[in-house]
Amino acid sequence: MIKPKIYTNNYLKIQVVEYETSIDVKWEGKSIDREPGKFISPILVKVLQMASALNKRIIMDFQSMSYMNSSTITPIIKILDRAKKGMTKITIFYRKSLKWQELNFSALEIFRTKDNRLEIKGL
Amino acid sequence: MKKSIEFNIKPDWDEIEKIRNESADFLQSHKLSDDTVHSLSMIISELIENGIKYGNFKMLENKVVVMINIERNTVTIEVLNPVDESAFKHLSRLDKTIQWIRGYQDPFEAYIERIKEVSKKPLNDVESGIGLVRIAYEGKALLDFFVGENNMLNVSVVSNIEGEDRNVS
Repeated sequence: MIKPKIYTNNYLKIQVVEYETSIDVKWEGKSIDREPGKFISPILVKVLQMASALNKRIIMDFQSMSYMNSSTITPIIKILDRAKKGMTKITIFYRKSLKWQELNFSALEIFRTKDNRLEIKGL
Repeated sequence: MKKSIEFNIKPDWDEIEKIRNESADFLQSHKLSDDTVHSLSMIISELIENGIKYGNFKMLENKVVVMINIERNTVTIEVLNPVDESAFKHLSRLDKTIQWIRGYQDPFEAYIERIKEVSKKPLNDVESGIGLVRIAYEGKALLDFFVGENNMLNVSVVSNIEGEDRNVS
């Protein structure tokens, strides 16, 4: 494991940890900023580039998120669309027992690929 | 128990979280389930966000007004903010978006369509574009709006509460 990188902004914490075969991106807290993409997008782009260069799977875990405004969902959607067009492998975990997570993340299954390169999993 | 509550908010982004928490407390006092409280609070936040983004706050006394009314089977949320002639583009888009959502029998389909559309936009495009459709889909709600007296834009949302949306004690 490479030393985790922790990014924080207001109530949101994103922890990036690189493992032998994956890069884990753990989301915690609330994302309520006016333009959250300014904070989120550069982190996700960097992770996407790292995963692509090192051939590692990105594991994005949203289970510890308690709230996200719509402007937060947008950069995630854009990253998934770009990943789908490339070769990056991504797994998204969300908490199925939370209705808001189930409704929002299950909708992202449109980005799922048949070969499971992109997968969305409710736990 | 009070059936309705009203907030008058300064157009300050930090106020949104405060009102989201206070309105969640009010909704919880009516024994609504955690999931329902979460979705209604999301609606309130999204509408206040729009109110602050597109409202006219040149006059210091101008505020965003939030009204929540709980009936037996419905919750009505109204968010009002002053607008001026510069809001025409926003009002036109608001009208178009609400009509577009109504064109779908199932708001889930509208949500998926909007996700596909937004996903193609540049990463640095800060426009969310999914707030209203998220309200219809996640909040199971009907949206409407009008511009009333004193150029106050009133965006209203009616959400149905079913049996499972209430906590059984």
